[in-house]
This record gives sequence, C-alpha cells and structure tokens, in this order.
Amino acid sequence: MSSLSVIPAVAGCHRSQDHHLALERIRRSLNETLRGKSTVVESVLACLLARGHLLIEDLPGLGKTTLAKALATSVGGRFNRVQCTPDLLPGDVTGFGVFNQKTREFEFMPGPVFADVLLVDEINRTSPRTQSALLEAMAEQQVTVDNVQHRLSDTFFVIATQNPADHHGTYPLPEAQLDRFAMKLRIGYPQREHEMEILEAAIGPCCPNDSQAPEQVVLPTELHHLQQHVAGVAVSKSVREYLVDLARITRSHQSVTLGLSPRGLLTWQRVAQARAFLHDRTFVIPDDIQDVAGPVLEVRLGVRGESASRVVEEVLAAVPVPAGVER
Amino acid sequence: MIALQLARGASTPLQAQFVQALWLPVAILVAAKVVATVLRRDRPPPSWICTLLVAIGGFGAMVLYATVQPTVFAAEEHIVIALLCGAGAIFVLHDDLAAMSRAVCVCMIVILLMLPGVDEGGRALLIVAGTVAGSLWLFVTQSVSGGKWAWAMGMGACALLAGWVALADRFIQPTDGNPSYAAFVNSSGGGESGSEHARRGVGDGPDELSGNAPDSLGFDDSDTFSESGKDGLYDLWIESYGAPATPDQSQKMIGLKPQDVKIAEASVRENLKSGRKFDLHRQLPKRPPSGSPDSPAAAAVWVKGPMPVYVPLAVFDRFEGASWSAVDDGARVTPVRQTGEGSWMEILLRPLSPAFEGYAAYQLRVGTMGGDVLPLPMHVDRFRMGRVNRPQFFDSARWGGIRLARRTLPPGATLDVVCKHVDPARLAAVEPARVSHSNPTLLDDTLLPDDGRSMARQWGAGRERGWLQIEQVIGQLRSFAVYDRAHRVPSDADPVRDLLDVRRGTDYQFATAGVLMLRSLGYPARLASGLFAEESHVDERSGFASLDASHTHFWPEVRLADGTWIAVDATPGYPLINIPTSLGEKIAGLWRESVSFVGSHHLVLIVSLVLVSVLTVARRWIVDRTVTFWCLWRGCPPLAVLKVIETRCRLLGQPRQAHSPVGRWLATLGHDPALAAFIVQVNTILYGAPHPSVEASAREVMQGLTRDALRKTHRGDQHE
Repeated sequence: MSSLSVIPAVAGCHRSQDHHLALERIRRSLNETLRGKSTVVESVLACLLARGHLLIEDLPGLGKTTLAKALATSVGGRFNRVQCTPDLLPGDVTGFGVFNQKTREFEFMPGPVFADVLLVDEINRTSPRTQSALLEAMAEQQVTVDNVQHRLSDTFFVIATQNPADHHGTYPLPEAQLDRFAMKLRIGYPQREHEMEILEAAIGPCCPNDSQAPEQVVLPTELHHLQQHVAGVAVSKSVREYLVDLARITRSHQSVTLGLSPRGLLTWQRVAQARAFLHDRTFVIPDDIQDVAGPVLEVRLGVRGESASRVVEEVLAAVPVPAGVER
Repeated sequence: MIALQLARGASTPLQAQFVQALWLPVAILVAAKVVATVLRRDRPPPSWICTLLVAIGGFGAMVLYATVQPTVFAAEEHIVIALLCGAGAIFVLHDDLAAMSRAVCVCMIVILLMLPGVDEGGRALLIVAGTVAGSLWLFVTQSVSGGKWAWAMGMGACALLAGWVALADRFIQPTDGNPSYAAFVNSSGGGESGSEHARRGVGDGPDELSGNAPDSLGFDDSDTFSESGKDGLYDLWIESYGAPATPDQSQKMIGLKPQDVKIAEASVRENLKSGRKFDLHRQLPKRPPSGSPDSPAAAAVWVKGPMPVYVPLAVFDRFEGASWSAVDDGARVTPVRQTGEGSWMEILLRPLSPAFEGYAAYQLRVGTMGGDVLPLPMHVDRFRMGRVNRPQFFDSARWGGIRLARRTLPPGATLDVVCKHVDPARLAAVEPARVSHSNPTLLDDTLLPDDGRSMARQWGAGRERGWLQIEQVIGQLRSFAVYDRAHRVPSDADPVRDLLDVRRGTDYQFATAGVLMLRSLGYPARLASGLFAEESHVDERSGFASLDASHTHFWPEVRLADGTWIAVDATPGYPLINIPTSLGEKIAGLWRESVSFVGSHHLVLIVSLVLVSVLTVARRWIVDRTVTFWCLWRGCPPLAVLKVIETRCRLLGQPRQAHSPVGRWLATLGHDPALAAFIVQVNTILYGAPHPSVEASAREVMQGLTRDALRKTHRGDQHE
C-alpha cells in the first residue's frame, strides 16, 4: 500500500506533548538505523504500539536484525535473540527446569523468551515443535513449563524474520502461528542515495558496535503508556462496519484459502488505531484501515507473492468506503 | 445546424462556445431577412424553385451531418438528438397541414432510424422508439384536433422526446462495439449483443445475454445441440402446427353437381389445423347487405382533382336576420362560348385577376344531385360536359354560376373543368373592392350586433386595409368560437348573436358572422353555399371524392376590385382560404409564412435565440453557481460541500470510486491548506468527534473547488 498523504495536525487532537516527543525519538532513532525506510519504520511503530508481533520476510542482509536490535535498544527493554536451527528445542526458547543439588528442587531457568524484545531469526528454519512453543508466548504473553505459568514482560514484542529465497530445509510457519503475528513486512533494497549514506557511515568504526549504536530513547513504562493510549483511539460504528465487511469479503474471495479470523480482525483494528495515533488523530478513518491492510492481511490470508497484494487490492475495492453521516 | 453548433461548442472553451453557438443562428436570421427584403413578400419565388431548394438543402444537410457527425458526437450527442427532434417536431406542428405533417413525420422517422448506424449502444433504440411514438402521437393530434391544442400537445411531445433522450442517456450508458440493431437478434454469451462471444443460440433460458446458463447452446455447437435431445425449431413448429402435409394419392379432383354443393359450416380457423381434410365444396358469393360500407354510395357528385375544393351551388347576399336570400338582378345571358377544341366551353367575362396563378384540372361526375346548376369549382376557366358542344345549352345563374338551360342535370353526367388557382401570397397585392355600386347589399351589416362590430374593428386593428386584415379578422373569428356541427340555434334567435354568446356554432353561423364582420369593415362580402371536399374524402383507388349532403358547407366570399370572388372560410378546421395542395406550392406557402413570421418577429426571435444559446452553453456554469450560492447561503455544512464536490466530479466524469477514502480522494483535488483543513474536518465529522475550530475551511473549499477549477484539475491529470 502506498504511504499516507500527510494530513496536518489540528488543534484539539488529544496527543500530549510527551507522547509526541517520545514517538518522535523512536521514529528518529529507527530512521537513522534503517535509512530510507520510513514507511517500514512507521509500520514497525504501528505494530509496536498495537502490541502486535512482527514478521519480517526478506532477503539476507537487508537490515532485519539491525532493525530489531535498534528497536529493542530504543524502547529500552531487554533484548534477546534466538537463532533458529533445526535442532533448536522448545526449552531452548521458553526455558527449562534444572535440578538444584543444594536445594534438592527443580529451578526454572528462563529462556530467551523472557525479554521485552525478542528477535527470532530465521524462524522457518526451526522445527514446528519449537515454532509452536512461541504460540502461547505471543498470544497470551506467558509460558507454561512443568505446569507452571510464567508471565512475560508487559511490552513483550516478537520480531521474527524469515528468508523467502532459500526454502531448502525450512519449515513453513503454520497458519496458527502466522495468525499470531500482527503484520508481515518486507524491507526491500534501499535506494541509491541511501546506500551511499550507509557506506559513508561505515567509514571509520572498525566494527558495527563502534558505530553510532542507537540509544534508549523511551522507558518501558512510557511505551506501555503509549500502548494504552492507542487502545483508546475511537473507532466509529461506520468504520467498524467497514472493517467487518472487509473481513467477510476475505472469507468469500476465490483466491483466499483462509479468511480473516476474528483475532485477525481485532488485530487489524488495533493496528489501524495505532496508525491513527501515529498521525495525531483520536479516531480511526478508512485511510488507516486501507493503509495497514496490506501488512495485516498478507500474513494471514494464505496468499503469497505478487498475488497477495492483488488480493488485498481486490478486497479493498469490493467494499465501499463509509462516507455517510451515520455513525 | 444550430443544435450541431451548440453541441460542438460544449466541449470547447467558453468564449469559443459563444462564438460557435451564435454565429450560425445569427447568420441564418440575417440571411432570411436579406432574402425576404430582396424577394419581397408579395413576390415569392416560384414553387418549383422552393422544391428544388428544399431538396438540395435536405441532401446537403444530410451530407453535412455525416461530415461533422464524428466531431459532434464525440461531444454530447444527446443534446444534438434532442434538439433535432425538437426542431423536427416544430415543423410537424405547422397548423392546418396534415399532409405536410405526415411527410415530415416520415422524414423524421427515417432520419432517426439512421441514427443507430452512427450511434452505438441500446440508447439509440430508445431514441428511435421514443421518436416514433412521439411522431405518431403528433400525427394523431394533427389529424384530430388542429389549432392551438395541437401546439400545446406538440410542445408536450417535444418535452417527452427530450426527456426520453435524457433518460436514455442517464440510465443506459453507451457501450463499445454494440451495433444497436443486433439487439433485435437473439444471442447468447458475451456481455453484449455484438460481442464475439455471443453465439446467437437457442435454448439459452432467461440468462441469454450473459451466457451463464449451463444449458446455453449456440448454433456453433450444433453437434452438441443435436445430441442434447432438446426441441429444435423444427420440433417446435411440428408441435404447434403439425407435420407438413404429404400428398395423398387417393385424393382426386372431381366435379360436383350444383345440388351437391353445400356451404361450409366450419370456420376458416379450422383450416389451419394439422391434418385438416378439406371438403370439396364451394361457397356461394354473398351480396353485401344494404347499408354496409360495401354498398354503392349514393353521392350527389364525385370530384377528382387537387384538394381541397369548394363547389359553390348557391350564393346569398342579403341577410334577413335568420336566413339569407339572393337579390335577383335579372341578368340572363349565355355565359359561355365554344373554344373550338371539341366540346370545351370557356367562360365569358371571366376576370383576369393578378391573384391567379396556374391552373387546376378537375373531373366531376354527377350523382343524385339534381337541379340545373352545374357543380363547378370556383374560378372556372373552361369546362366540358360530355359531348355537349352548344353554348345555348348553358345559362348563367344570377350569382355568376352556370346552369343548364331548361334542363335538369342528368345523373352520370361528366364534367371536365379547368380552374384558375388563387395564389394566397398574390392576394396581398390585390386591392379588395371598396364599394359595390351595383349591389349595395354587399356592404349591408345592419343586422350585425354592436359587440360583433366592435370585435371586428378590434381584430382588424393594426393592419392596413387589404387581405392581411381580412385574414386576420377571419382568423380571430375562427379562434373565437368552437365549431360544432350539431349545434342548434333556437328558431327565433339570431345566428350571429347566438354564436357570439355561446361561442359555439355551425359553419352557417361562422360564415354569417364572417360576412357581416367583413362588411362592417367595408369589404363587399357574401355568403356562399355548396360542397366542400378535402383529401380525406378521396377514395384511394378511384381518386374521386364522394360528396353528398353531409359535405354541404357555408363560407364567406370577398370581392376583389377586379370583380373576382375569393372564398375565405370562417369555420375552424377548414382552410382559411383555398390553399393550393401541390408539394411545391405548400413549400412556397411555408416559405412565405416563415419569412413573414421572421420579418414581423425578428427582434423576439433574435433575443430568444441568443437567450437559448446562452442558457444552453452556460447551463452548467449557471447550475454550478446556483449550487454554490445555495450552499454558501446555508452556511456551508461540510458534508453538503463534500456532496457538491463529489457531484461536480461525477458530472465531469471523474467520480470518487466507492472504495476510495474521502480524505485521500479530496487530497488529489488540490494542495490548498484550506482543502487540507477541510479534509480533517470531514474526517472528523464522519468518523470522529466534530471540532469547532476547523469549520471555516468549508466555505473556502466551496468557493475554490468550482466546476471549472475541478475541470482544470482533471484535465491536468489527463495531460500528465
């Protein structure tokens, strides 16, 4: 989908100055890390504010991990990374119980899932068993080990990556797993001038860690506060009906094998709320719905490649936008 | 041509529109004025020149139409068609010319049937259907009523045609490659009749056009059709009408004796059934019962020749309050002499009036008329009655007519008559007689009521003494009252008084009132009685008009200075004067009337044309400004402004797509800060809470996004 037309802020839209500054800091930090990808950054921010999880599907070396690390650093939480391999076990992600010789009891050793930002790299390279271990964590923000539930962070955020080019030895994510992600993004190659900037910035520091590493710009509590504000963004009845109509269209579309689930519908609304919040609005308009439709639908409609964007366009074209005064 | 220019101008800039729309109407008016001035109204061009001009003009117009058609129809063709229909209907509305109306109706229908060849889509079919219906309706109204009601109904028909065209254009959008006539052909498959997927099959069921019916089979799939076991056309025919008859070798034609012949009892319909065995019998011919339409007519006289025709049989000049009488001047002379060409007789002392132009030949056959007066049309030049070749057989009636001397008219006698034709246009140059010294009763109007006299003066005001004044007075009298053939005047009542009071009367009353009113204005006039025939009375096979007592008619006659009597019919529905009937003469008459009308109303016509042209060219601008004013007056509610902008874009052919968000679509229309604020305002009202600080922008947007501004925006997008 195309980027939004810039609508100027008007007085009276209730986003406080602190929120505005916090968002601007995160946005600037990510844009400095991932040059020339402001649209992707906006989508990542919307996903973060909507408390969704992000699946990035792109070729190696395009900045997936960099983006995840920069985001984790910016929001100031604990960052963990899981490099998925075929022999990765569920316990390696969620944690496991270790027998303590001194206390003669089993103690829980938390896995990498206990973080504020979890980067699951090349998630399709691990077995379905391990992929399923993330289901509970992503949906309910908790893990259950040895019949004991362990709560995760309030700002738990998963960024998973997968490589669409090399399918040898991979395990495609099941639909149930895909439905846990809020959106799927593609970063794409940067433009020429941005690649020039990337090269120029790499001159000097001997290793990536020495370069201008992003710093923490917001506190986790601030992020949590922002997420609460996003949840309060108004969605009028006509827009909700518009959303429902769109969802029903996906279920009857010929090219779609799996229509939008109610959980996907909720996610779509929440991401649209986040986008409205990012554009300094206290209510959702159909532009928000349409702009986030691509990333939200592509991850869960079971349509791949070029046909995915075509299906999304057809779905959007099939439902008239509410333009009446009834709400 | 005016319509073509108007439509053509609609797609060009405003200034060019005015120029293109105005130059041709103004040029036509100026040319008409110049031609009228040069030719003068009293000397119109000969009728054959008019016929030639119209023929050339007609072909030229069609050639011109075919030439400019691609340019014009690329613009707004429905305007062209609507105006053409309106223009044609105006011609049809010409009063008292039923035959001309029919001809123009036929021309309109033919021209409009040609439109589907140049237009496309089902719209042309609706146009044709509507035009045919409207034309037929016009024809009916012309034939039935005439007069001012025909005008009213004709204008209604114009509005109906225009509305029909507008509706067709509104609801049936033109489609590509859809020959209109193909819609008459059964088809299947494809979205349209002309689609290559249309297979024109049978058994397509109700979903014929879309071709989605699973049982749809086309002729191309004839093998599949044959194997399907469905009923074909042949089967349906056999089912309905039975198998075709096969020759029965046992049947032979035999002769029957007369006593074996019997009348068929079965109805003719039974013969159509299959397997019908025909009886070998004959039906005796039946004689039509008396009184049926097939029975021989008991006509007084049959007339063949140019119609309409007046056959005077008696003339009266003295009005006695309830009836008319004739003054006997005692003149009895042999009125004719032999011309030397067989039995042709020419009239002596026949006036050589400048109002005459050309001759008309009639043939009359005497029926049950009786009497001794020859039934001759007016203004006889010469005549022949069978082989009667002696002038002494003829005598003059006291009013100038011819009768048989001492004999009654034998039934079956044939009269060949050559009459002079009165040219109505030439009458304008002929001075009516002022005073009749020989017969002062011709100016006697003493029994005309005072209000009738004042009405005559009022109706004749504004015209100089002459034929135009006579026509004007008689024309006003015709529109003053209603002709009622069954009207009865009380026995002791004055027929003129009754007509003025009741405003309804017979032809006798109209004629009496007309004579007296003309006399009150100083015109010598008299009442004529006789037979009247028009084209509707003519039998198509024989060409004769059968006249009997029901065709008796009364009409006034006015005397010219040279002694010629001219019939001026005062009865509504009858021709005002004896109008010539050939096509060329009709065209010449139309020409004269048009020139006269343009000459007398040129200022009104010019102003009307300019006004209509301006309104036509600037109609959208006017409507746009009106809507803008209305919206501003209502305080510019943002949603109303949004609706207006959406309507403007829709009319410009760039509507907002249903799936396009309002704000994003508005953002494509400009980059004005006011527009951006308006977008926020509309979004807030539609999907959020209204906010008072942004309400001022709607007014600026309303004034900024006018139709012209949006048009420029869309054109700019197209160029890009």
